[in-house]
Parts: sequence; structure tokens; C-alpha cells
Amino acid sequence: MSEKSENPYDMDSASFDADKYLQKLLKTCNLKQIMDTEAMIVKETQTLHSEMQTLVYENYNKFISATETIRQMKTDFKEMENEMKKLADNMAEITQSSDQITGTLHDTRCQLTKLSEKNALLKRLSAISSLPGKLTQLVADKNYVQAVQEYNRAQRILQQYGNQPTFKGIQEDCSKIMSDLKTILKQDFQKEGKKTAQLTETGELLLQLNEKPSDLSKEMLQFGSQRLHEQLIQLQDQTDRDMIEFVDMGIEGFLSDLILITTSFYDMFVQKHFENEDDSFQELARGNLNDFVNKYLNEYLNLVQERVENETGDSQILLRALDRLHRRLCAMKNLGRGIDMPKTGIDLIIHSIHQLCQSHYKILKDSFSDSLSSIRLTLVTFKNDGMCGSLNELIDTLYVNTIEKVKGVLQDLLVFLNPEWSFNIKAEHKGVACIEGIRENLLVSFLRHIASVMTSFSDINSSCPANLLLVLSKVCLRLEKVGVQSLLNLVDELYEIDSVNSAELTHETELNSELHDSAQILLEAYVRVQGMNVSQILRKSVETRDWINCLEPRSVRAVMKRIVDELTNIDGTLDELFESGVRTTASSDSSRKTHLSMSMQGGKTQYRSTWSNYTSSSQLDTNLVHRLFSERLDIFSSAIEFSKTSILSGIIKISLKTFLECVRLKTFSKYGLQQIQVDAHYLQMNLWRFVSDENVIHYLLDDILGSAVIRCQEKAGMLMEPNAVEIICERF
Amino acid sequence: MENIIYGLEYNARSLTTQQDAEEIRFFIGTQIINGKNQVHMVEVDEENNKLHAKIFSHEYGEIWKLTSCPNDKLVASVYTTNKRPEMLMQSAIFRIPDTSEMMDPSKEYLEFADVEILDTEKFGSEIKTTEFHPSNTSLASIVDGKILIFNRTESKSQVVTEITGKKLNGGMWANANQFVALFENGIRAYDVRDPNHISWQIDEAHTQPVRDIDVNPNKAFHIATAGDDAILKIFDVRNTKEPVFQRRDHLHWIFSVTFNKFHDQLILTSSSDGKVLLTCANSCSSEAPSHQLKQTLAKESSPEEDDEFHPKTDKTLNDGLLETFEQHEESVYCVEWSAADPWLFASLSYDGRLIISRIPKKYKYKILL
Repeated sequence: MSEKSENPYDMDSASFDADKYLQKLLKTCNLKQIMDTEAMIVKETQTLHSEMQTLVYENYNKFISATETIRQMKTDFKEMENEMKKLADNMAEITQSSDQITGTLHDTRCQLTKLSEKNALLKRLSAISSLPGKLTQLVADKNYVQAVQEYNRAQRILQQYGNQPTFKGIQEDCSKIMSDLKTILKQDFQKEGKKTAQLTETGELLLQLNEKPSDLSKEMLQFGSQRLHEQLIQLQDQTDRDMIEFVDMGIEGFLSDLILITTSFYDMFVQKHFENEDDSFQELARGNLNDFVNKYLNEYLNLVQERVENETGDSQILLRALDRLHRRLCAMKNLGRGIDMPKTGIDLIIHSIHQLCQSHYKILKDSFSDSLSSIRLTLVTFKNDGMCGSLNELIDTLYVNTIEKVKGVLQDLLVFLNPEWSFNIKAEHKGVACIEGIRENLLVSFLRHIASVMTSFSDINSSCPANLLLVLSKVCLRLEKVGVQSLLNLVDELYEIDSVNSAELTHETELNSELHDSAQILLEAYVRVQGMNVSQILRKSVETRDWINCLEPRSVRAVMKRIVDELTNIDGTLDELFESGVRTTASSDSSRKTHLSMSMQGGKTQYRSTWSNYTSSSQLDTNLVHRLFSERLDIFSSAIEFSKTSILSGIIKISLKTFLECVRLKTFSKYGLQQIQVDAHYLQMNLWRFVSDENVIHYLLDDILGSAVIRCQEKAGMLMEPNAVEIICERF
Repeated sequence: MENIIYGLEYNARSLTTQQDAEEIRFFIGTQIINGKNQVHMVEVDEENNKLHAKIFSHEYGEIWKLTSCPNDKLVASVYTTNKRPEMLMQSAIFRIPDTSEMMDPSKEYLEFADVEILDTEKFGSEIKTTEFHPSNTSLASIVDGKILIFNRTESKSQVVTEITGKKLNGGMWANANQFVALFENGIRAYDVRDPNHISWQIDEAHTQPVRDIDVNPNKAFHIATAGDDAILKIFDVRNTKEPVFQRRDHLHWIFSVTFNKFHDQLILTSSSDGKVLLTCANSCSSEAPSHQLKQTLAKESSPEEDDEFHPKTDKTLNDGLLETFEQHEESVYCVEWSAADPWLFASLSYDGRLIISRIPKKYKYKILL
């Protein structure tokens, strides 16, 4: 481009070289073209020249008109300068005049200010001088508030000018009036039956009168103590009133006073800050107040507790009273900071529950022992009347009575959990423990108590009708089977106790096993007592008879019949109470009947060969053979079961063992021995039906007969023919 | 040491220990109604854990009761002679020969020296027991329910006092002047110097007849009683309303009760239930801390010291049943402590089985330590 711009052949460019252009033109163009170019250039040159001439003319005209305008402006500026000078002169004149006026007015204004100040002072002075009169008037009108306000307003001035005689007089007058007022106020302060607001107001006034807060607070508490103490003494005299009345009186008298004093105190001292007291004053005051409230509340609650302890009436009423008290205490919740009023109330209620539980426990115990005595009496009378009486009825009575009593008590105590009460015992840890106490200390303890009372009838020293033992054993059994469970379920349900998951609460099985043990012990005692009764008959019958000089047996001794009768009686009694139990030996009636005779026949050789041929040297062999043929039984080893046959087996075992021991202490003649043989056979025939395992009877009767053989003074051929024995027994 | 068993071939219901000897000796009397009876002297050889038996013949009759003299080598037996149809009951005193005299191997049975049959026939036909006086030469026999006091002289024992009791079933000397007799369900104490006077009595000590008594050798006012109600009781004769101790551990009649002479808290009872029971009555034994001592201790000791006192009581034995010996298969009529070894006793059952047993060491140490 630059080359182009530098193009020396371009006529418009600055570097145009006419010679080169011409040469080039000459070289490249033909003549015609050169002629055309020349004509064109000439024409262009002429056009440009005329244009330039026009431009120069135009510019010249413009320059001339501008020069004329500037000349005009020069003349106008000169006029404006003159006007400005005149204005400056006028302003200076005005400033001067204004200064003059200000200077003239200053003095007058100072005088005015002074005069108005003096006027205000004079007004105040007149108010102060009339203050004593005004105060007196206000005090007389009992408008203490305003009086104090007036006084306090004047106080500052009086203090300032107190050294001047006039003011001194006024100040003294005022002080006198105000100290009178103070006294009035203090009296007022201590007057009874005031409302909190009034009391606070009075207190406030006293404080404004510069009473020292610490002194005043002390005074207030002291006075409060006095009042509350009087209230308490008054209440103490009223303890014989109805529980509700008593509590109401307490609430109206004591508690409302306590509230009054506490609230006022709090408003006056604790909530405010006093400049003229230590920083710790508030804390101190709060502490004092709490001590005060604690002290009197405790005293009052102790009084209530005492009253509760003497309460014998309806627990419903007691509770209603306590509920009222608790509501009141709850309302007082915010009263004493740092004192848990509802908790104190709950404690009281819990205490009363404990107490009620205890009294109920005692009532239950008493009623149980009453039932026992009455049953005992019934049994003794029945015995004397010779009738057995329905033991089942007695068992029912005792069982149902006991269960119902307990249920009643549990229902009765339920009032504590009534949702309409303002307190919720279960919310408290102590309360839960208390509710569990109903289960543990009342129900469980009672069940344990009756178990131990019943068991005590089997003690060594106790002598009670055998049937009572049976009744008690059966009651224990029934409690174990049904009663305990139903009662525990009831208490758990009523009081919503989760006993299943609790490690501390007594479990049902624990109680059941204790009751089962009691039942077992009682049953064993029954067996022992009955066994001894039968034993006694047997012992006397053996001891009193002359077994040497007796006749050939013609019949079974009557005492054997008596024993069988006795056992039949027992069997009848047991029949209605116990299952019959299992018999291990199941043989037919006839075979059983003849067992002994069979064994004697089958063992005829045995008996004959040993007993009849025995000599002194072969006595041991006799024993050995005897033992070999009758397998040894430990007759006392098996435990008594709750079945008729087991019980009767126990009694029969003891009786026959006694028979055996008695026989061993005697010496028999031939006929004496035969009598034993007959008796034993008779027992054999009649006792099998009572027992579970008749082998025991066989064993013992064999032993008895064997011992009788050994104790026979004659050497041979003493036993009776088995057939004869059978005939005698069947004839009997 | 294991139990040692000595088997007789005959029934037996009498057992006594020789008191005036250093050897541990027991005497057993057989009960053979038609035959020759014997007295077996069983000597315990502790070193070799063996028994040595010597057999004396007792041809007078079957033996119901044997007793031994505390201050002499004498044994008394009560026996019946079978004189069909009558049974004659008598009592005899025997002197135990010296050991050297027992060595004669030529005889099958040894003989007692100095046999004296008491002259009781004119007083009655039934004899319950013959009891040697604890210190002098007197003897007490219960004949037909009466107590006869004999005086052993060189030639013949003479009846010096006759106490008219009724239905007395046995008894023993409580002290030098007092004889305690079993009377039905109770016991009665007679002063031998004043035959018509009953010193004291416990009438219904048991609900059933009393079978045996024993006087605490170290505390003479304590008397153990036992009988058909299977209860062991200890009475303080100074206050007889309530027993001071009682246990019901047996299941049938108790035939024998005896205090350990050295440690009287240990009491043995044997019963027709086939068991021998060792019972501890620590609270009323002579080794029990007295009440006064307890009270002063309680007063002096603060609660903390009290705690120190408890473990001490732990060390001693508690009241109650200590041990049951069940090796017998028959009714056990007799049990006797050895006079020479405080930890050894013998029990005899009707089938003639004598068992020598020892007190388990655990109890022994508790008592000794």
C-alpha cells in the first residue's frame, strides 16, 4: 500500500512525480490515449482552480464579521463594573447599623434572667417553710405515700441549708413528724390481717425513710416468726378436729400468713438492689427467707404428720385433706426459691401411705389370727360333738376370707392413685418405692406372715387338733396354686407394677415355694400327730396285756378293729380333701386278702423251718433268712405327698413301727404269739386299701410277727395254722 | 478313721462303756430268750483301727440293760430268766477281771469274777435298771416302779432305803443325793436321804412316755430327756416350765440320749428310726458364753467391735442337728460315748450290730479351736 501511496504515478499522492508519470504515460499509452489524458488533466486543473478561488472569498467575509462583534463586547463590560461597586458600598453600611442595635439590647436581657431565677427560689422557699404543716396534714389524712414523697423532695434542700437557723427549725420539725410517721408505719407493718400489697407498700415507705434494709428484714422475719408460731400453737389445739377441717384451718391461717410474709419479704428485699447495703445483702436476705420458710413449713408439716399418725378414720377423707394441702403447696411452688414445696407435700403423703399400709397390715394380721382361732374353735366343738364337719367348708371360709380381706385392703389403698388428686405419687422415686412397698411390705409380707403363722402350728410345742393342720395345709396349697398368683396379679394390675422385669420385687414362684414348703410341713405334722394317736392306742394295748398268761386266741383283739376304724375315719376326712393317689401294687382283692396267709403258706417252710426250729445259736440265721425273704425297706425315707394314700401310708408306717417296738419289749407265750399272728393278719386284710404300696405293710407286719416269734419264750411249734388264722379273722 | 463294725450273732439291746479304765471298752449284752446269753467286751485298738473282743458268759438270762460303775471296775446287768411260764427278772453285779486274767485261751467264754445277784425278789418282779452311785458304793435299782438303794458291802449288798415311787421306768443319779426317775411322760427327782419327798418334777415333759434321760456331767441342773414323741429336750431343773433346748429330728421313738462327758454341747440320740443323731446344744452347754459375759461384752463393745464379735460366734458350732449316722439297718436302742476318748462313741442296733464311730473332724476342730 505504502508503495502504492508512494506510488509516484498517482496524481493525488504527495510523492507524485510528474516526470515519471509522463514517461510512464508516454511509454504505455498510445497517442490517442495521451491526448485524452492531457485533455482530462487540463480540465481537472481548471475545475480545481475555480473551487479554490471560491473558498478564499468565503473565509475573508467571516473574519470581518467576527472583528465587529468583539468591538461591541468591550463597551458593555465597562458599564457592569460600575454597578457592582455601588452594591458593595451599601452592604457595608447595613452591617454597621446591625452591630449598633445588638450592643444596645444586651444589658436589659441579663437583668431579666436574674429576676426569673430569684422568683423560682422564692417559690421553693415558701414550700419548704410550709412543709411541716403539710406533712402533718398528710399524716393526719393517712396519706403516707405523699408525705414521704414530699419529705424526700425537701430533704435535699434541707440538708444543704440545714446550718441556717430558719431551715434548721424546719428540718427538725420535719424529722420529728417523719419519725412519728415511721413509728406509725412500723406499727402498721406489724399489724395482722394485712394484704401483701399493703405490707409491701408500708415496707417500701419505711425503706424510703432510710430505714436500714438489713434491720428491717430482720425485724420482719422476727415478727413473722412470732405470728406463725402463734398460728402453730393455735393449730396444735385443734388436732382433735376432723382431718379436712384441720388442714383447711392450716391453709387459711398458717399457710396464708406464711405466703403473705414471704411474698412481701421477697418483693421488698430480695428483688431490689440497695445502694447503702452490701452486694451480698440480697443473697443474705434470700437465704434468711429460705431458712425461715423451711423452718416453719417443716414445723407445720410435722404437725400435720402427727395429726395424720393419729388419724384412724376413713383413708378417703384423710387423702382429701392431704390433697388439699398438696394443692396449696403446689400453688406456693414459686414462693420459696430453693424449697421444693410440692415435694415436701408428697413426702408427707408418702409417709401417710406407709403408715396406712402398716395399719392395714396389722388389721390383716389380726383378722387372720381371728379367723384361725374361730376355725380352731369350730374344729374343737365338732370334735366334741363327735361329728367330722365339712373341712372343705372351713378351708373355703379361711381361704376366701383371707383373700377377700387382702383384696379389700388393696382396693382401699388404691385411693392414693386416684387421678383426681393433684399429686401423682408415681412421679416420685420415693413414691414408686412406696407403691412397691404396698406390694412387698403389705401383700408379700402378709403372705409370708400367714405362711409362718400356719407353719408354727406344726412346732414342737404346739398342740392343735390334727384336722386344723390338715385345713392349714390345704389352705397353703390353695394359696400356692391360685391365691398368690391372683393376688400378685391384682396388685400388679391395680398399681401398674412391672414385677416381671424387676429384680427387687418378690417373684410369685418364690412365695409359692415357701407356701408349698409350709403345706408340706403341715401335712407332715398331720401325719405325725395322727400316727402318734394311733401309736398310742397300739402301745397301750400291747403294754397293758399279759402276753404270757393269755388264752388261745379266739378272735382278733378289739383294739385292732378300733385302729382300722380310726384309719377309716381319717380316710373319710381325707377323701374330700385329697386325691386318692397311686397304688403301686395292683392285685385283685381276693389275692390281697390272702396275701399273708399265702406268704405264710408259701413260706411255710420258711417260717416252720426257721422259727419253729430255731435254737439260740441260729438266731442270727433266722434274722438273715427273714431279711433275705423280705426285701429291706427304709420305711421313713419317702416324703409325704399330697395324696390320700401317701398320707395314710405315713400314718400306718408310724403306727406299725410302734407296734413292732412294743412287741420287742414284751415276752410272749405260745398263745400270746398266736394272738399277735391273728392281729397281724387282720391288719393285713384291712390296711392294704389305705396305702399306696402294700409291700410296706407286708414288710412291717412280717417284722412284727418275726419279732414276736423271737420274743416267744417257747422253743418250737408256736405259730397257728394259717387257715385257722384266716377263719378267725373272717369271722371277726 | 473309718467306722468299725462289730457284729453279734444275736439280738442285743444293752450297751455300756467301762468308765474306770484307760482302754476304750464297750460291753454288749445279748438278748436270747431261750439260750445262753453273753456279754461281749469290745476293746477299741485305736492305733491299728481294730477291735478286740472278749466274750463273757452270762448264763443267768437275756440282758435288758447294762450299766457300769464310774468309780470301780464293775458292771451291772438287768436280765430275765426264762422259767416257763414265768419270766424271772433279776439284776447282777460283775467285776471286770484284769487284763492278764482275760488271756486264758483254754475257755471259749470268760467268766466274770465276783458275781453278785441283787436280792430284789421280795420287792418285785420287774426291774428297769440298776444304777451305780457316781461316787460312793451305793446302787439304785428300779424294782416294780420303786427305787431301791443298795449299799455294796464286802459280802452282800443291802437295801438301805426304799423310795415308794409309782410306775417308774428308769432313771439315773443326778448327783450324790438325788436320783432322777422316769415317770410316764415326765421325770421326777427323789432325794435319797428323804424317801418320801420329791425334790422336783416335770410331769408333762413330753407328750409321750420318756424313754431315756441324761444329766449334763458339767452342768448338773441340765437334764436331757427323750422319748416316744421323738423329741430331744433339755430342761433346766431350776425352771422347768419350758425346756431350754429342744429338737425334733428323729422320726420315731428315741431310746437313748447321752451327753458327751467332755464337751457337753454334743448330744447323741438313737432311735427306732434306725438313726443315730449328733446334736449340738451349744447355747445351753457349759462351754457357752454366759449371759452375764455376753451382756458385759455388749455393753463394752461399740458397734464396730460388735462386728469383731460375730466372726467369733461363727467359729463355734451352731445349735441344731450336726450329723446323722445311718449305718444301722435296725432300730438303734443304745448309744454310748467312750469314757476314755471324747470323740468316739458306740451304737448298737437290735440286729446285734455295734458300730464304733467318731465325731467328724470339722466339728472337733470347731470345738477345740
